[in-house]
Amino acid sequence: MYSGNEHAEWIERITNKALSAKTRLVGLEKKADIQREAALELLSRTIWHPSVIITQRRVFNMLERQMAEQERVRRELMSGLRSEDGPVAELERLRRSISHDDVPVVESDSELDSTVTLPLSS
Amino acid sequence: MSGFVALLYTVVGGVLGAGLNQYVTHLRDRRTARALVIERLHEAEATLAELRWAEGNVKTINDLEKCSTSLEKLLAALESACLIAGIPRAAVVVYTGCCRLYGGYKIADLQIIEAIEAAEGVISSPNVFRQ
Repeated sequence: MYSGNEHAEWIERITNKALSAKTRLVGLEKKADIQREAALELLSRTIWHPSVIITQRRVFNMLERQMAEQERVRRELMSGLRSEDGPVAELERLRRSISHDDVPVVESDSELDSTVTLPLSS
Repeated sequence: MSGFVALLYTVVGGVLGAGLNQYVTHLRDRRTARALVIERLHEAEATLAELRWAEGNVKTINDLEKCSTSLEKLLAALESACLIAGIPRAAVVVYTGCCRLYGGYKIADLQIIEAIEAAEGVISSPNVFRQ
């Protein structure tokens, strides 16, 4: 059985892992959105003036390269997220372990103070 | 001689007329096809907006997955509309790829939020840490 502090550390570790994954996701999401805006602009211009594809060839090539790189990053990230030791699976295990009463008894108030509330960075 | 000139005029006129007719029809078809691309683009953008504001509207993962599926369909429709309109592939692929990336990240983000909230709900329940 864990002590109260060990349990709190465990929860904190899982939470930090989940939050860092979330922060990374938010960053990648913003990057993808900015690239989408650029691609939308180029696509709109191409619809009206098809010659844009020739004059802006370098921009298209750059965006294509960036997208291929992003796709690689996404695949890695998703496989990490969905793996057995990924943050989602760990949080689920944590939730199950607690809801099935597999929780250490906290001995004193001081240990209670060291327990963790999960900060949601939205 | 005059008969030959008349024949020549008729032939040249016929060829030019047919060519011009073809050209104008092609232009009109192309414009219609491009208009369809713009429509498809707007539909895809509207669905993306739904995905973007998902957190504010407190949507579930199921809702987002439905949204993502309909985005996929719309992107496929956009790609085929672009193919008909003769829009270069590079322009289309970059846009659709970015949309798919964005949708994927959004769903993964909500999965983590839901997992954190579920764990938080259990941890903050009064029976968890017993004296």
